Parts: sequence; C-alpha cells; structure tokens
Amino acid sequence: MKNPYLPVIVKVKRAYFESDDRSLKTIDVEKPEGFSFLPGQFCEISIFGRGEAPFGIASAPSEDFLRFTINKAGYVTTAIHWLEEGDEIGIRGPLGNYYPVELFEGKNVLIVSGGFAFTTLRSLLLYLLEERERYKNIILIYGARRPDLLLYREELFELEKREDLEIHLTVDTEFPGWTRHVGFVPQVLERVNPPAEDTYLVMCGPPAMIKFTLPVIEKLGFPPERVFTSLERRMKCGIGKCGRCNIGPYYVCRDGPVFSLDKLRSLPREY
Amino acid sequence: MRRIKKEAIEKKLKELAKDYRIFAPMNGDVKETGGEFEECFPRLSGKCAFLPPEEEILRYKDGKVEETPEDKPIILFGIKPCDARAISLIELAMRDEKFPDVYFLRKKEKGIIVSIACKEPGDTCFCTSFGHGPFSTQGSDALLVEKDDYYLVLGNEKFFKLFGEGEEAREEDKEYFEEAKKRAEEKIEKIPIDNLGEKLLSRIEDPVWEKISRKCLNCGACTFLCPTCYCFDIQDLERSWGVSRRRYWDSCMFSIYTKEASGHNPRPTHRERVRNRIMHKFSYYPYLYGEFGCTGCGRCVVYCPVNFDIREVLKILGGSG
Repeated sequence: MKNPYLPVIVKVKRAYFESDDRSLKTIDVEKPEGFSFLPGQFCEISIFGRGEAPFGIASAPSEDFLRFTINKAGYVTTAIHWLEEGDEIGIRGPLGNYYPVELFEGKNVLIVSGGFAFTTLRSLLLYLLEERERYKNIILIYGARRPDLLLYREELFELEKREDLEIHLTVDTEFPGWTRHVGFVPQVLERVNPPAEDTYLVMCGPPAMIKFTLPVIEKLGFPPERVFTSLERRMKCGIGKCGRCNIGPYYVCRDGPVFSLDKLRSLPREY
Repeated sequence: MRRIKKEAIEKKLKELAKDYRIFAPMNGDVKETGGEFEECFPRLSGKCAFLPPEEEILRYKDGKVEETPEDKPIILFGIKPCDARAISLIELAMRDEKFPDVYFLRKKEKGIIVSIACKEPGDTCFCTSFGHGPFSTQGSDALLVEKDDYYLVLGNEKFFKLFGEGEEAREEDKEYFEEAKKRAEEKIEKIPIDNLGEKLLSRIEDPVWEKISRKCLNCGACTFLCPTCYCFDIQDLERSWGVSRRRYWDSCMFSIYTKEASGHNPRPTHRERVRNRIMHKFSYYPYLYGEFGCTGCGRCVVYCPVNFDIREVLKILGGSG
C-alpha cells in the first residue's frame, strides 16, 4: 500500500515577489521524477514544523519545474513567503481533477479570470498553446485591481503579440502607463462579447468577480454545462479522508477542484 | 456456533497482551488495557483503537521524511456489535484504491475485533432501523453471547486460532441465542428510513434546518463519541529531533473546521454545520458507499448537553414526524 501522506522533498529553484506590495510570492520548485499532471491539479506544500496547505499548479505540464504563486494569508503561507532559493520543502501531488481539456478539442476556449486566481489558468493556457491546432479560438480575459497584481504579466505581454490568441487584460482603474482595458472583468467580458456557440468557458476569480460575471455569462448564452470553475476550500489531507472540504457528497480535493457550473448548481451552496 | 468457557477467554486475552495491543471497555471508555475488560456500553467507542484521537502520520528528521513505524497488532475486545459494525463503515471511506488511508487500514487488516452481544439494549438504541441489530456480526471477527459461565461464539478462523475452539454448542445454546436475540431486538425502537437519503436531499434548503439546529451548541461531543465519525485535523509538532506530523480527531461542528485563511467560511452557522453532519451520515454516505453512516448506537442522543435527538430529526426530515 502506497502511503499517500508522505511528501517528496524538493528544492526551491527560484523565489520572487510577484506584486509590488509583496502579498504574492511565486516559487518555482524542482519537479520530482515521474511527476505528471494536467492543468487544474494541485499539490499540498509542506513547510515542516508549520504544516501543509494546498496550492494550484501554475506551471505547464511540459515545464521542468513546478510553479506556485501564493498569497500571504495564514500560518503556512507566511512561512512560504520566507522561502529562498535552495530551501527544501515537501510536496504531495498531483491531487484533484483537472480542466476537462479533452472536451475542449475542436472547440473555442474562453478563459475568464481575476486577481491571483489565475495560477492554474496559466498552466491551462500554456497547455492549450502547445498544441494550438487542436483548439479553435482561444480568448483570455484577465483583470486585477492594479497592473502589478496581474500574475505573470511580462509573459502575458509577450503572448499578446501572438496572432492565434486573443488576450484582454484589464485593471480596475486608470494607471499611468496602462494602455489596455480599464474596468471590471464582467464589464470587459460584456464589451468583448465573445460568441457562446461552440465555446467552453473556464472561469476562476474572487467571489465578487464570480458574482457579477455569472449574469453576463448567462446573457451571452453559455449553458452551465459548458462553464467550468475551480473551487478553493480549507483542506488538510487533500485525498478525501479528513472530511472538511465536501460540498454535498463530493470532496473538493478528490472530486474537484474543477466543477462545471451545472454540477455546482445541484449541490448545497457551501463554497 | 461454539461454546467457550468465559474463564478461558479472559485468561487468553491477558496472555495475548504480550504480543497484541488490547483495547477494551474499561471504566466507561474503550481504552488500552492489559487484557482486562468490563461489560458496559462505553462512552468512547471502539473506533479509538483503529483511529486514535491522536496519531503520528510521519516524521521529518535530518531533512528526510519517514513513515511512522507500525505498532503491535490490535485486539479490540468486548465492544457492542454496533461499534464493530461502525469500524467496517469507517473502512468504506478509508479503503480507496488511489489514496488508501494506510494507517487505518494496516491496523484494521492485522487487528481482531471481538464483540459481545447486546442482551440489554438501552432506550436510546435504534440499531435495528438500519437492518442490523444487537446480535449483528458485521465487522466482528467473533460475536460472543454470555450464557452462565460460558460464551456462545459465532466466529471466524482468525478468532478461533487465537482464542481456542472450545466445544460445539448444544441445541439448547442455539435456542438460547435465538431467544435472547429476539428479546433484545424487540426492545429497540425502529425509525423509518425508507428513501431517507433522497428525502433529505430534496429538503436541503428547507427552513426546518434553522429550527433543528437552533439549540445545538456546536460542542462536538456527538462527533467525537460517534463510532462512525472519522474526520481529522493534521498538525505539525516540533521536537528536538525534528518534526512529528500528527492527526487529531476533528469535528464538523466547529466553525474553524471549514474556516479559510481569508476569513471566509463556507459553513458559517449552526444551520450549515448541523445540516452537513446529518446529510453526511444519511444522504452522502449512502450515495458514496451504499450504507448509512450511522449504526444507531444512540451515543449522540445520550451525551448531547442540550438533548439534541437525532431520532427526532430523522423523523421530522424523513417525513413521519
């Protein structure tokens, strides 16, 4: 019997602050041998002596490192913010399910995101771009309060130049030097007005963004079974045993974190 | 059916304490003993033998992760049949092809569970509602029935190998067994559970949850004493030699159980927490594993400080009250 509680020790390859206010830190860590995953899955990161917490994988499956971007919020994330290059941490994973990329083949994919919920969507975006010809139009709409809170923005500015990809970046209010969209994600989504036909929508963002984006999605005509989102819950074991992350009979750690809107609507609103 | 002298079994149990960890009811709770046991309906259930209140799950030492070594095998002796059954219900959640809970399963596979039939059920028992009863053998390696200075034994090979085979039961023993079983079962109240899972699911937004949960203190006594509740928390303890990662019983009745670092809590009030506890046992568990997550032992009724009675709740929600 393989023990699912034992983490693998990996070294931090790079650690840097993502935002000017130092609330977001990105760590790139060694990828353990034989570690294979799909976009949307997560890992439990161990800081020994502090504890374990779950984080979505932001690197693409083909990259030779694992990337996590972490908001400083609690006991474990604070310790993660202390990490420097060369430090050792434990990881368990990949855990959970993934975005249903098989369904996306031959279809348009619209990615809608806000703030630091973008992590696993970077993984998804790069994954889709690797075999670009398998999918039709790919559109990304991504917003944050300020430009420095847009994750991986330098990389996104580079991707903006590609012709086979439509990227709309937005910030909440005007900023000196900002020449892209200004406004909240749902407003930009309405302005871009992407066709719902033959399109899968993947959406991750803060609760306020989700709340105001849902009516727009409905107006645009996306059926709930073609809208996917990734949920976050407090977790401990990450393998459906410790009990806390259930929504109805499903465990977010084991049966999620990716759910279709359709499925979520049939469950108690405990997220 | 076999019959074995009580004395022989008691003596054997004390001998076995050398190679086994013996857990048995003692001074009102199931705890580790040197082979002694007392006949009672313990407050702490038998689950504490296989899922201890506190348990190390790994060590981090000199930059390496080590698995916690296995201890001696366990004999859980003298519990009621409902507690034995409860352990087999927990096993449904722990036995998982992709992510087996190794610490529970290893103990369970090597362990032996011996229950003593419940000849005098209490007035809070409702085990027969779930198709089992005070003489149920599910989850037990052996079921003992007291008769004078003998135990009548329904057991498997594992049990007889350790405790000896005694002698073949007599015709009158079998009659005694059936009679005692019938008498005990008749004393137990049955709660209607037809389509309970679906009924609960259809009433998930029902305002009645507000009323049901109002008096609950969220103290968690019901979940800790429940023989089928298995939720746990994981914490790191720093030691001079490194880190001991341990799991502890946790309870869905506590607000911090689901409270996130951001402050957001998906189950913010008594209503959601009580609802989750009831739904998990009577709707989600049957949906996932085909069995109710309740044995009808009645502990949550007996020990609730505000007399929250799960039987009443089920009658209300099941539509018969």
